[in-house]
Amino acid sequence: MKKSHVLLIAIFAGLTLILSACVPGPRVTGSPGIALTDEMAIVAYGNFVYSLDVTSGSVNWHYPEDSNNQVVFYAPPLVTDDFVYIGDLANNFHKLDRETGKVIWTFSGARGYYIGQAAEADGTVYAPSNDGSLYAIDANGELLWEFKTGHYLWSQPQISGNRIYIGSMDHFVYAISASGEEIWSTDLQGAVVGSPLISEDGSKLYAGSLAEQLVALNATNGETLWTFDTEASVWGTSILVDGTLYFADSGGNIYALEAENGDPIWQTEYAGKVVGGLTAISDGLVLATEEGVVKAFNYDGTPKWEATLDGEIFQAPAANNEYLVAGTINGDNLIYGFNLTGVQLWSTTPEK
Amino acid sequence: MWETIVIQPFVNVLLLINSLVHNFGVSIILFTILIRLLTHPLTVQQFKATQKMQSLQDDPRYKKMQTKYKNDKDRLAQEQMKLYKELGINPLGSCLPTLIQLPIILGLYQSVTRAMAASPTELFRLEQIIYPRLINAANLLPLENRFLWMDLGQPERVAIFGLSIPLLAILVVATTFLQSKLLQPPTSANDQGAMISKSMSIYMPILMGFMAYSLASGLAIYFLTSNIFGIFQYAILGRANWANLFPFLKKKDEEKDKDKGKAEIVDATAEDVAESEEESEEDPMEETEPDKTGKKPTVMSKKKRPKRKKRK
Repeated sequence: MKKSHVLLIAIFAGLTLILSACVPGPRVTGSPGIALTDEMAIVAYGNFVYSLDVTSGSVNWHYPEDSNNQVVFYAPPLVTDDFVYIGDLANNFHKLDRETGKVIWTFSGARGYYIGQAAEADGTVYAPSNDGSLYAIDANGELLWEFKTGHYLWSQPQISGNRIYIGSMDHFVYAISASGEEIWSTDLQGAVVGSPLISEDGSKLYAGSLAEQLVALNATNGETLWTFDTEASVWGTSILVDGTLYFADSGGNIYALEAENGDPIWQTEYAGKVVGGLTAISDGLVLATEEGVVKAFNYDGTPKWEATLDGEIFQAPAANNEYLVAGTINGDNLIYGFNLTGVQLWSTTPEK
Repeated sequence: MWETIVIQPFVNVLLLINSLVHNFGVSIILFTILIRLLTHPLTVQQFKATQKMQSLQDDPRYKKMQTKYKNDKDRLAQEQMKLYKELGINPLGSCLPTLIQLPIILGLYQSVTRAMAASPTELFRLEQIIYPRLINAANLLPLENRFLWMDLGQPERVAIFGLSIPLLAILVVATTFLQSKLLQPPTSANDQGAMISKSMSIYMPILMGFMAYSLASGLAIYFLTSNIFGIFQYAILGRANWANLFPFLKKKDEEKDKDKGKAEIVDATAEDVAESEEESEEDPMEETEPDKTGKKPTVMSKKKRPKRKKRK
């Protein structure tokens, strides 16, 4: 082969590499998806799903055993008593054994990849996909039904009685029957990224949207009960404690509202962009900002503690009764473990 | 810096177009055409400079100096600079427009990628760079990802008779091949430039096709539009070398040239031919003296000279 040919191939290969690098990963970028049990943190990031010891951050198992560049995980895993459910960017949805990480089945019927967390009830798992469809899959990995919406599904389905509620990036919140039929849909005027929250009695749904609003809907028929205008877009899921609704926007504000009528109780500005929403801990709420700060607040809005991590955080921290785990990207480490008083216990980037 | 100066304005223009046409596929096409139109003057400048450089290589003085100073690089560079100056050629003339265009094209590519945000992380970053006075992010985001049969965030495939065909990637390969073929200058087989150009017409379509095959179809649409625009651009500027695609045109051109040559010889007198022979024996590097009329004699390039017939 002539020198000029070799040079040309090298130039084009370099250009391809540079241009391909403009689209990191197979097709999208994401941040670690985390779910917590009493003993383990299940973390999905890059080519693996990891089970970490929540007290030390050491790896129990990872799935798959060998790295495959075509398989990338960003969706938060769903962890049940015995299983872990997780979707990947190669349009596959996996059911794993929680203790060993061995795959039980893989569902490959979706036309899009998985970013949102799945939900499970009575052995049926509901997997939201980027192709805009919610897939109901039985315990053996067989498709029961598919419910189509108009855009990406990034939020976790919420299940109450015989109904499944899900927010879509097509701006609608949908109520779906257990057999996959639409019961109602309501336009929120902006994409719904976070999961709708069901009230304690199941009569209301609370959903934030990019339309800079938080809306309460009648769970029976989808009618709007009240609307609260925020100062910036609402990306994450709210939390509901003793009749008070807490949520944050991307402009650096936390709000506490009367869940019944949407009347504001307090609002505080803390300078930080929240994408992942809030997490409830035993005596307060915790949020994580894009700038890499984990902050805990009392229910009256007064700050409890904060920890600054190296990196950016796009998902809400996961918590159990003793520990809090947060995941970052573009930082020194991937996963950080805290106790509930904000003391950092460990940090790790699991080996591949 | 790069983000603020290039990506942010590009993304906002792209989203503005999308807010008018409400179709992201059409927006990518219009945005690509807009950017290529804005860089059109640079392309014209580049073509002109390239043309000058190509004609320089046919100049006898240039050829002579290449052989005369082949062992003295410094002297060769000095002589070349003199000749550039004399002929009014800027040696960087064809590189500068390319250098200016490169970041624009890279910015165009990145802004299309950025606007196709397909995860919360990407969408959040997109929302952060939107000019709120210009664009209503709540109404617009996320962009509609369907265009014709494609999901713009996914690699494109079309099902034909049960087979999954990457139609867009095939079109990208075809148009990249067309484009590079049309740009190939008509030069001799031993010319290194022609060899590189020929190699480009083989490797470039393969690599572009691979990218269109594996990346999101929104980017493949950008590649395709850019290629088609490039072909039109070369055609309008008269730089498309159609004979590379249709060999019968080359034959016609050659026949025309032959006829032209014959006609010139027929018209030329014996004295003209003799003069021409003398000229060809002159050292092109030597400066020509003014004739008695005071006019500088014009040195014809070898191509233009009538061919000498061997005397039997």
